[in-house]
Amino acid sequence: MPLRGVVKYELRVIMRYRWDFLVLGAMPYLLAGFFYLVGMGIGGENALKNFVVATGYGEAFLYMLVGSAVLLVILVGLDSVIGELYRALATGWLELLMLTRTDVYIYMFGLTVPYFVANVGITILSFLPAAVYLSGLFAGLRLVVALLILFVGIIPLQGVSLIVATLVIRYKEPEALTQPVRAFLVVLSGSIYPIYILPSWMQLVARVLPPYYVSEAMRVSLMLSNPHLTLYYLGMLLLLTFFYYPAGLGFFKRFETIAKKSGELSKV
Amino acid sequence: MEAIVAEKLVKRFETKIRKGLFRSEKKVVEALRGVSFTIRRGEIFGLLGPNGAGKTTTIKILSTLLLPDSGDAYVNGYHVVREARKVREQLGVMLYIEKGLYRRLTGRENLEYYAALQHIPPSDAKRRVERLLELVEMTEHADKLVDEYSLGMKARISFARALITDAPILFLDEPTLGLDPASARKIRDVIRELSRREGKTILLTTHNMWEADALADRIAIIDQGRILTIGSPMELKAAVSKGDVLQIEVMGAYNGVIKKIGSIGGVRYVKLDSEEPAAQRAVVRVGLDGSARDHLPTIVDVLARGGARVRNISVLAPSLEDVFIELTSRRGR
Repeated sequence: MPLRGVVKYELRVIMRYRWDFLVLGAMPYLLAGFFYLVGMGIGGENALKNFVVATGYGEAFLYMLVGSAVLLVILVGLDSVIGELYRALATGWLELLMLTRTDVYIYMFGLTVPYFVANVGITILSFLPAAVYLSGLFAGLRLVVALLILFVGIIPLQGVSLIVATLVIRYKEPEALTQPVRAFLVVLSGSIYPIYILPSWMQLVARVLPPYYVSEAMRVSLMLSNPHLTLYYLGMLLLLTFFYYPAGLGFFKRFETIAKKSGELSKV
Repeated sequence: MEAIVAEKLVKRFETKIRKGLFRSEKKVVEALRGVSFTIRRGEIFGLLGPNGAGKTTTIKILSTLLLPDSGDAYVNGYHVVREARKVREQLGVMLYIEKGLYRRLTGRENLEYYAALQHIPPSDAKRRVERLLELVEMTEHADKLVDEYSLGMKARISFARALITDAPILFLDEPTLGLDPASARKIRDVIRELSRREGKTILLTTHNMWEADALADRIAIIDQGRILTIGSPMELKAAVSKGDVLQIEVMGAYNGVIKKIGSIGGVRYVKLDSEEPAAQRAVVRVGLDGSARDHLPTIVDVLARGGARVRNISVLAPSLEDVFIELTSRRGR
C-alpha cells in the first residue's frame, strides 16, 4: 500500500511537470550529435572506418545515441537520489517520513519506480525517431529487451547513488563533492568512449560499476543482436544489484544512526 | 497511568565555532540537562520557554527522531529508544508549520500521500482527509498546489497531517508561530476540541506565554535545557503573586535608571518590555514583593532623579510572563 502511494504521487508530480522530461528526451540527440561531430572533425575522412575497427559497431551515431541516453540515466539518477535526500533533509520531510509506518527503504525503492518510468519515457523519446529512421534495426523486441536492461541497471545505479548521497549529504556543500564523483562515473561508464582507452586500473574499476554494463548491454541488444553477450551483461547487472542495493541501504542505515545522535536528520 | 514520562533526559550537541578562514573549534552545547516531567492522559501540557531552551530537542527525543545521551522516556508505556516503532504508532506530530510539505502536490494530495505512508487504505484515507480539511477549514483550497498557499494555509495542512492517524497523543511544536491571528485561533480552537471531546493527550511547545496560559492544563517552564517549574497556569501565577506587578511607561533618560530600580528593596525583578530609543520611550515591568502603594513613591522618585519622566503606570495581575521572568532572573539571566 505505501509503495503504491509513493509511486502514484511521485508519478503525478512527474506528469504535472512533464516538460522537464520532454526536454531530457531531446538531450541524447544533442549529446550524440556533439560527440559525433567532434569525432568526424578529429578523425577526418577515415573517422567512420576507424570507429568500426575500434569499437566493432557499424553505426557511430547510434552508438553515441545509446551512450548519451545511458549517460543521462546515470546523471539524472545520481542527481535525483542526492537531490531527493537533500530536499528531504532541508525541508524536514525526512523526519516526517521517519515518523510514518513506512520503512524508509520501501520509500526509497518506491522512488525508483517513477524514476524508472520517467527514464523509460526519456529512452523511448530518444529512440523513437531513430527507430523510425532505421526501422530495420529496431525490431520491437529489441527495444523491449533494451528497456528491461535499463530497469535492471537502474536498481544498482540507485544503490551507487545512495552510497554517494549518504557520503556527501552531511557536508555543507554536497554539490562540490558530487561533481567529481559524477565526472568519474561518466568516464568509467563507457557511455561515449569504449573503456579500453582508459588506464588498466580504471578499466578494472569500470568493470565493478553498473554504468559500464548498462551501456554495453544496451548497445549489444540494440545493435549487435548477440543474445549470449546480452545475457552475460544482464547477469553482471543482477550480480551488482545484489551488492550495490543492499550496500546503499546499509550506508543509509549508518547515516540514520549517526544523524539521530548528532541531530542531523534535518537541516531546517 | 501517565501518557508520557521523561526521566533525566540529557542531550549534548557538538558545534563548530569558526576561528578564521580554515580554523574551527569544537564546542559542546548542552541542549538538555536532566529534563524530567510526566504528562497525564487527556492533558494539554505546555512546554514553555525561549528559543534554544530545549523544547524541540525534547519533542524530537520523545518522538524517536533523536537519541538521548542519557535518561529514559516512555510514551504510552513504550520506551523511546528500545521500542521506537511502537512509540511512533502512538503519535501524531507537527514539527514545522510550513516545512515538509510537497509543494508540487495539492493540499489534499499531500494529506492522501501521508495517509498512504501511514498504511491507511485509500478509501479510509479519502474520508479522513475530507473530514480533516473541514476541521481546519481548508476544503475550499484543498485542490490548489501547496506552492500557492500562504503560511497560514500551509500550517493548517501540516496540522491536519499530524491528525491523519487519529493517534491518541499529539506533539505540536510551536503550532502557531508566525501565523495570522485567524489561522492561529483556528488551530488553538481545534487543539481545545481534540482535548475536550476526544480526550487526546497533547504536548505543545510554545514561547507564547499567552497561548500557553490559554490552552494548557499544566505548564513546564524550560530554560537552558532545564525544567524550572511545573504546574497549572493558576498555580504558577499564584507562586509569584506575593506582590503586585507594575507596568511603567517612561520617557527621557531611562537607560541607567532601570538598573537602579532593581536595587530598591522589595523589587523582585525589573524587565524592559519594549522601547523606542529614537523617541526616548520605554515600557518597564516591575515585580514587587508587596503592594504597589508601598513601593511606588520610591520608584517614581528614583526615576525622576535619574532624569526619566513617568508617563503612565498600571498595576497588573501576574501573568505567566512574570513567572518566567522571575524564574529566569533567579538564575541570573
